[in-house]
Amino acid sequence: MKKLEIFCGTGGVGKTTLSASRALFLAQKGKKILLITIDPSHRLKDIFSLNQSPPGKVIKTTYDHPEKPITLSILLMSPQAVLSKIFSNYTSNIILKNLASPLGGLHEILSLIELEHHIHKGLYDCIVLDTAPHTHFLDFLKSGLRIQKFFNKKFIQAFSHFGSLKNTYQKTQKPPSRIVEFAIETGVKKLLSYMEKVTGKNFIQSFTEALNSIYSLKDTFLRASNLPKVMQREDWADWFLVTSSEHDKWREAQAIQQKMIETGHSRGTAIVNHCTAQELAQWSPTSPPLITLKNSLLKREKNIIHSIEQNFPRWIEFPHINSEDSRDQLRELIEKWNAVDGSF
Amino acid sequence: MPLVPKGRLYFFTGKGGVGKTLAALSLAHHLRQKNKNILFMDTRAPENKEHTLCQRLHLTYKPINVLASLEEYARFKFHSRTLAKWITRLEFTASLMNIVPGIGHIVYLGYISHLLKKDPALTIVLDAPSSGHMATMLGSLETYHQIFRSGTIFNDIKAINDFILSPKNVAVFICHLPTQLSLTEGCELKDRLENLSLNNIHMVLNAALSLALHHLSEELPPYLSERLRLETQALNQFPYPWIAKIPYLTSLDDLEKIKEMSLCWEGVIT
Repeated sequence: MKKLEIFCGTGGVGKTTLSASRALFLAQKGKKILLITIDPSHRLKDIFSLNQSPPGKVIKTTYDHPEKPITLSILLMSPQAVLSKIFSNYTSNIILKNLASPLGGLHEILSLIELEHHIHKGLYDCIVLDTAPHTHFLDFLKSGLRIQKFFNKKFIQAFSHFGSLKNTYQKTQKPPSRIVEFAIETGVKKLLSYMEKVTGKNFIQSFTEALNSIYSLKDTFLRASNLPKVMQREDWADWFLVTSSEHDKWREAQAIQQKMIETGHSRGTAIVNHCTAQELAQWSPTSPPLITLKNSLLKREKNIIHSIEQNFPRWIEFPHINSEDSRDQLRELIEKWNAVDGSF
Repeated sequence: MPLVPKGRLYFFTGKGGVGKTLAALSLAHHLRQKNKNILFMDTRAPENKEHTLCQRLHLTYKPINVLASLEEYARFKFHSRTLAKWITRLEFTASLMNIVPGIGHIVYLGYISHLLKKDPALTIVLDAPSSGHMATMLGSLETYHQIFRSGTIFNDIKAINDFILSPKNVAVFICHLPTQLSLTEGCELKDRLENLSLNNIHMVLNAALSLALHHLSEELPPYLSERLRLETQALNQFPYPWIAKIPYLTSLDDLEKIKEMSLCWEGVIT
């Protein structure tokens, strides 16, 4: 068990259920666990019956496992809750207000900030992270760099003085030359003057104001931006790349793994979910279409496991569970985690 | 069965992993066979898969470079190639666009509507982002509408918005797997998009086991018969009609799958 266990993968392979089962397995062993989902679809709330709870707050819940109840903490990440926490009054600025909406697009960056916040608090033995499918997860990983590029010292200084630049001109005093240097060097002043020609009159003012508000929080953002680097440390974070025997999903999983390696993350542990080879082996169809189906399903699974052998140092096969009931699924998955404990 | 009126732009979206890309390619292939002038586009960085498949299907794949499109727009707006180049090469511009995805979305949608207005005979099939991110992409138009409030950029965004929201121009296909999860998320997405004033939305079913097995009475292994049972149950509760139903396909080859899938689009679009 590391400090951070991250479940990533393609869509529809059982990532959320697996991450929930992993969190329960660890909590069952007596560890203090926080399970966070940054997937906007918040599927965890169905699994743990949290439909009444507001997103964005850590909820301590007890799961009714047949052996003994398991206690753990759960967080359904909400971009608005994070923004409310870091900005005292963002609704007064039209730009910030709109960016804060569920459709504002700052989801990945705000997830990074929220995650860093909880790691920093240090209240848990382990944080289990359920991510959003595929490319969104890659966006999440890149958020650190995006933040750093945007919170470039030169930009910050250019904007912070741009406000006072306008004022000092009005007072007919000469502005300090270094400030002018920054503004010119970054092209910010020139850009804003051109933008003013094609945007509404008040837009530039709102824009500068919004940026200064955001830049005033640079410490929060920059701290969060270092998280992806920390996540690269093998002694600190464990990765589970989840896929299933559907052919297309394996190819997407490979793409994710590729990107992870490119950005300096370790290979992690692969999980093949919904394995059906054992069950299929016991089936003896006689009609040609069903024979084709059986062979196709078996071949698919075999191909994936073969590819995984070539690309991952460790992997786990989770069998298909013959129940839609999440309680049955979780119980069986927890058993499986027990069975493989120590082998990866 | 309802039909989709002929349009200019077809979005394919749905929960992650439902098969949007292949479904989109199958429609593009079908339309191409009817001698339509088709462009295939996607919103993610061009991956080898789409490009190679398009080549093998003799489909034109059009990648999009957001910064290049922004430069073209700026050149048009400021009547200056030099200035346009300067704006897009500025470090601040790139990092701003990276931090706030909405700007890129608008440039992207603007570029597409520009292509369609320029060539009236063109049709575009777009492999769009999944659920939430699809809503964000379209929501960006409204977001920036509110932010600008007036001025020429505002007017341009309004023009893009009007084009995209017109059912004459745009149809959205939400793809589903026959699982309760996927069907529920598809319905939620439909609601969200309708709240954004998008109306020409149709539901596509992919990988339906019941369609592949319905005529077979032989015994299935427990997990397949259970899966079939759950599929039938979930489909019975689905409140919307299917514009196209694609059966579960056993082929392991994408090209073969696309060609089989394209048969399901016969007679769907007027």
